[in-house]
Amino acid sequence: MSRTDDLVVAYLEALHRHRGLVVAAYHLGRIEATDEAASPRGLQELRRHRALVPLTQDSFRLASSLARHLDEVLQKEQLYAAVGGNVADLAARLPLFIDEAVKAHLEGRTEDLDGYVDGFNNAVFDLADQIGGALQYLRMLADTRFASVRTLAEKQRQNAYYIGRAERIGEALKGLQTGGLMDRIDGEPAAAPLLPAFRGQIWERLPQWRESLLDITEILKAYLYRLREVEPAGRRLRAFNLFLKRNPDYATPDLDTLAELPGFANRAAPLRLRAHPDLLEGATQEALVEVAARLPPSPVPIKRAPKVGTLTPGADGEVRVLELAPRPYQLALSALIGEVTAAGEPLSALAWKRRHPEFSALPDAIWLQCVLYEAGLARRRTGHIRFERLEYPPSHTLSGNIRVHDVLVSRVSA
Amino acid sequence: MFKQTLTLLLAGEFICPIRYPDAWRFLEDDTERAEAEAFLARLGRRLARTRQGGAWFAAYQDIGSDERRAIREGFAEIKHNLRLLVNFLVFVMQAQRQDRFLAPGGLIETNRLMAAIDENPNLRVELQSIAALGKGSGADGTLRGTLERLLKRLLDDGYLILANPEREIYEVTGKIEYLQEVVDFLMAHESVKEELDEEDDGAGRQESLL
Repeated sequence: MSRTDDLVVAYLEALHRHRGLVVAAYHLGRIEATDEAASPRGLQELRRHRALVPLTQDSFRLASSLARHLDEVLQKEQLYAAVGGNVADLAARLPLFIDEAVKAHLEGRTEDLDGYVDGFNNAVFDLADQIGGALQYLRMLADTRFASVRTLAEKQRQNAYYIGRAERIGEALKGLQTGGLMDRIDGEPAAAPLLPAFRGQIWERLPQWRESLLDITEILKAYLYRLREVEPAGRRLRAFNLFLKRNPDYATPDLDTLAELPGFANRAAPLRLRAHPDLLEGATQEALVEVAARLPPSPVPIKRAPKVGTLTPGADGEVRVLELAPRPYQLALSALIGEVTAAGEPLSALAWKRRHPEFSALPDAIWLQCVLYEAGLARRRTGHIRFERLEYPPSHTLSGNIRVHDVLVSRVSA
Repeated sequence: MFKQTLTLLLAGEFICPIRYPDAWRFLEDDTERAEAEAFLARLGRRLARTRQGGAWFAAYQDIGSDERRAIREGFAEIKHNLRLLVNFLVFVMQAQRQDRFLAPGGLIETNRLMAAIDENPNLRVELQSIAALGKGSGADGTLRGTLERLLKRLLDDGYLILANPEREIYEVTGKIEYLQEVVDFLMAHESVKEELDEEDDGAGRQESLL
């Protein structure tokens, strides 16, 4: 069979050739004939293969069978999907095939028998696929809690719908198990060719399917119960909020006053877990080295030791000692402080300086600045002295300038 | 998964399918759960579940004086946060115009919530009064900042996860069921009648509008 002769290959190639159109039609739900990507040839070819069907005069949609196949492959969640919708119908076909196969065998119609066996096997595979797919889909819905719908009311309705679908599948499975099909195939020699497929595909998988379905139904019912609990819980929360607003001083009861601890209070306090690397453990050494290598270097403060100088002897070999002489303003301040201590009356700093000609080289302004600086230092040596600035009247109230023309220095009475 | 799940439980986390899906799946398995229970039992703890079944947590097996002290501290924490949490959750329900409790998996969209607050002066006032229960308004002093700070508080406390950071969509976790249990207990203890209060609540809101 050449590639071109095979209809399946031809169909798949057509889909591949025009995959852009197929994808657009699947995702968008429709495709317009006027779209840039939609070539008339592509549309025509896909229509010939029944992959596209007309939606309106100038638009097309994907054929339902192909869209359904893609949904199944991609496990796309659908709203109110007809999960397991034809399980019961498919199961109902099986006894018909058995009857016909037995008749054909008894009447010696070998060719017809082969046809019925093939038909039966296909029906069995189809049924097994349907049940497996339906259970997988229901499980996905149960696990994701109907993620495709947003509101709780929608979730509630979807949940109730799928519980109904699960029950229908459950009835079909029960029918397969208790309907006597297996006894019939097993007890009728003419139906022997039907046995392997039925046993392998259906009979031996039935317990697993029923268990899975039970599990899914339980999840769906528990979720439905929780959804139904949500509304009263909201009402209670609002009522309690109102109670809190009306009782702004409300304090929750002291645990010691309760006769019995409420269940929620039993929650264990968090344990503060902390582990340290065992540096002696050889098995973890490599990992620790790796971690250590990646650690950024910690800043190391470099302390520079002060350079110790050496005393250089003079030309004559003797060590010279330089003694610093006090500055004139320091001498003047020292003398002033000494005199203030002795005298009782306030002294004018300027008048005092003028009385001491040895300090005449010291400008008046600098002298006053030195006295004020000494006052600002508030040292112990001047603790008993009060400095009072004599200021010129300000040139302007907001100028901020303070012009001092003298400082009065007096002894603070003890 | 044993190590991660048990570490979370011992650290006081609530294991729910929204916040810790892997650990949740681990505990949903009967065999794995039995192992976890056996391990916790050796530490004087047991595996507990919220009444609605939406979250697992570690509880004390026996209650001695140490456990009682820890329980008292836990209860004090609830006491401290209760008013803010209840007020804010009811506020979100009102702003989203839903009567239902914010169940696990429920979504809170910051932008939608903010739009509802902008439209309604009552909600603006309410938000400010809730903010006063916490640490005041947001850093920038705007309503949006306040709302974001409150949402972050719930996020930090484990009641929400940030499901979509770009669109600022939060998802309610299973821990909310624990809060619900606390509220139910306190309502029973204080004999708060939900039906009667519902009517009064409506009347109260009418008055506030006037």
